[in-house]
Order: sequence, then structure tokens, then C-alpha cells
Amino acid sequence: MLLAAFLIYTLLPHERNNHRAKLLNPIVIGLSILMFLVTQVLVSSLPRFTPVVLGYASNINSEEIVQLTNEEREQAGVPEVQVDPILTQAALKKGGDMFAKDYWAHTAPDGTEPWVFFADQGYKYRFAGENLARDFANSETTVAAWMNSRSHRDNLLSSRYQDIGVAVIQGDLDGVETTLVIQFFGTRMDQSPLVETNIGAQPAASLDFSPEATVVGSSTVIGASKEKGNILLSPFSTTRNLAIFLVSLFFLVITLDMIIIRHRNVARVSSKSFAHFIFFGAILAVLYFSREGLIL
Amino acid sequence: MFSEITKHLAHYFSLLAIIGVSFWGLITFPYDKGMQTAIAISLGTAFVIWGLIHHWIHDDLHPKVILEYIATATLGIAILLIVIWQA
Repeated sequence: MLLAAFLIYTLLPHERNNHRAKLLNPIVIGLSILMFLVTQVLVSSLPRFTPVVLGYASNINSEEIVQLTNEEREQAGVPEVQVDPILTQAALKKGGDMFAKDYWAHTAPDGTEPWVFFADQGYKYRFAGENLARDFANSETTVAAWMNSRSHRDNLLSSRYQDIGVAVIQGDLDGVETTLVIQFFGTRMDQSPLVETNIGAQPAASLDFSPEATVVGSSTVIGASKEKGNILLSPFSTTRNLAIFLVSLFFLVITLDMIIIRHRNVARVSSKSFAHFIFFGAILAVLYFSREGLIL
Repeated sequence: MFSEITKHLAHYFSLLAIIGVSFWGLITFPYDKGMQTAIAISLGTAFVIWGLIHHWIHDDLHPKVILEYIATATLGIAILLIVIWQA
């Protein structure tokens, strides 16, 4: 009885709440925002108290990345790139370096550029390029994300590249279990004469030293950091589901508000429920279409 | 309610246009977090401004009404930004 009265007071327009659901009160909305933020903090600190690992389950395969890349190149009328074992090793080294130094960037915190990994493996490049991705569920969405970004697409479809090396590595990055995809593109020095490098999110640049580098390679390494038996909790999915629940609740309450107020023909001073209805509907639609994954 | 909407069709068309363009932008630039952030903040701001203008024309602009629009917009922006930067 008490619960029913509380729910009516909170969720429905009524005489007791001055014909406006208490949930739509600005203070209660402010509290909802605060609770959402607190929940985010709690989720991120959950692994300290339970056998939960924050991370992203993924099924990415380096061979598929190469295949999908070549399919995109074929559609664009660009010659296919060939898997180069040295470039693959370079990509693996780059991925290992990212986990070891705990960074998500083209250039390491100590200033190490991607091209250093090319040179270290003995790949003398004329052209070189690098695309990075993390937290994607599968190979298709990874390549699709690169294709949706102009700078990454330019890298992926560049006719200057003849070789590719892809590394798919799993590990702990900043406390989150994740899968990194390192895509190295390159053309060897003896294949053409000038050195250029191109990082996914940046325009191509010429370097002082000779070869041109773009990063792509092919190898899959499953890291040892994820312990068997632990529950993998995706930070993105958790946040997205909570957000959908919260916005759906407001959407439902505002819909009921419109129906009930119209039915009762109540005159009141308040904002327009229909405007809020459209606003929350749009937010819900955006949340529905949102996808996890980062590219760089 | 429906008579209110049809009476101010131009107002609601403009709101739909604001929200429609924002929705398109947020879906079109899924991997450009800077762009998505700008769009989300612009959407919330435009929603509040729309509310202010609409109620000012109606001659029923009350502090309580302003607060309701600001609170709703803040909730929308906060949720969008958290999801955008968590992705």
C-alpha cells in the first residue's frame, strides 16, 4: 500500500504531487544524474570487491582483418596488400609495448613512434602507416569503424602500401581487459624510393629518414592476463544498459504524464511534456544505435 | 495536447528539426568523440533555448518551467557524454 502510494507519487501526476510526477522535478532529475555518475564509479571499482574483470569480450581474428581490408581495397580498385611476417612482428611488438607502458596512442609516452617498431624489426620502409583499434566485438565492426573514419580509410585504401601486418593482442590496459588491434601498412624501401609515414587519425607526413611507413600486420595473441573463471563485465555495455533503463523510465513517465493530464484536462504551470517526450525519445534512439569500440 | 501541438506546429517542427539533425550527427560520426560531444551539448542547449522561446511566446515563462528544461537537458547531455566517452 505504502509502496503503491510512493510509486504513484513518484511516477504519475496526482493531486499530492501538484499534478506532476515527482520524478520530473528538477531536483529529482539532478539526483538521478548524480546516482548515474555514482553508479559509474561503483562499476569501475567493482573488480576490487568481486571476481569481476572489466573488459570487452571480442572475437577478432587477424586473418579476417587482412581479408576484410583486402576486400575493401578490391572494391575501391586498389591492389591487395600482402601479409609481411616482419611487419606482423612489428605490430606485435607495438601492441606489447602499449600494454607494457599502458598507453593508447600512436606515440608512446616516452616518445617512441610507431615507425621505430618497423625499423627495429628490420623493415626498411618507403611508406608506412598505422591504424589502431580497441574494444571491438569482431573483425567486421573493427574494419567498418576504420572505413567510417576518413583518415583511417585513406590509410586502409592507400595504393602506396604493398605489405600489411596485423596484430590482435589481448591484455590489461588501464585496468580494463581489452583487445588491441594494430594494423601496420608498409612498402619496402627497395620497392619504391621515398619515405612517408601515415598514422590513422593524422594526415600522411614525410619523415626525415628514408622509408615511408603505415602500420599493418597479421598475428593474434591472446594475453595471459584474463584469469579463467572470472566474469567479464563490459564497461560500455553496463553504462549503456543503465542509461537505457534510466531514459526509458523518464520516457515512460513523461508519456503517462501526457496521457493522464490530457484525460483529466488539468491546467498547470509546467514545461511541455511533448517536447520532453521527443527529447527523451531521441536520446533513447541514440543509445540504441551506440556501439563500443575505439579507433586511433 | 494534440490541439496544442497543431496550434504551434511551427514550434514543434523546429524542435523536431533540431533533434533530428542532432540525431543524424550523433549516428553519422560514431567514432569522432569530439564531434559527438559538441553535438550532444548543442542539442541540450538548443532544447533549453527552444523551451524558453516557446514559453515566452506563450507568455507562461516561469522559473519552474526554465528549471525543468535545464534539468532535462542536463540529464540528456550527461547520459550522452558518459556513453560517448565510455565507448
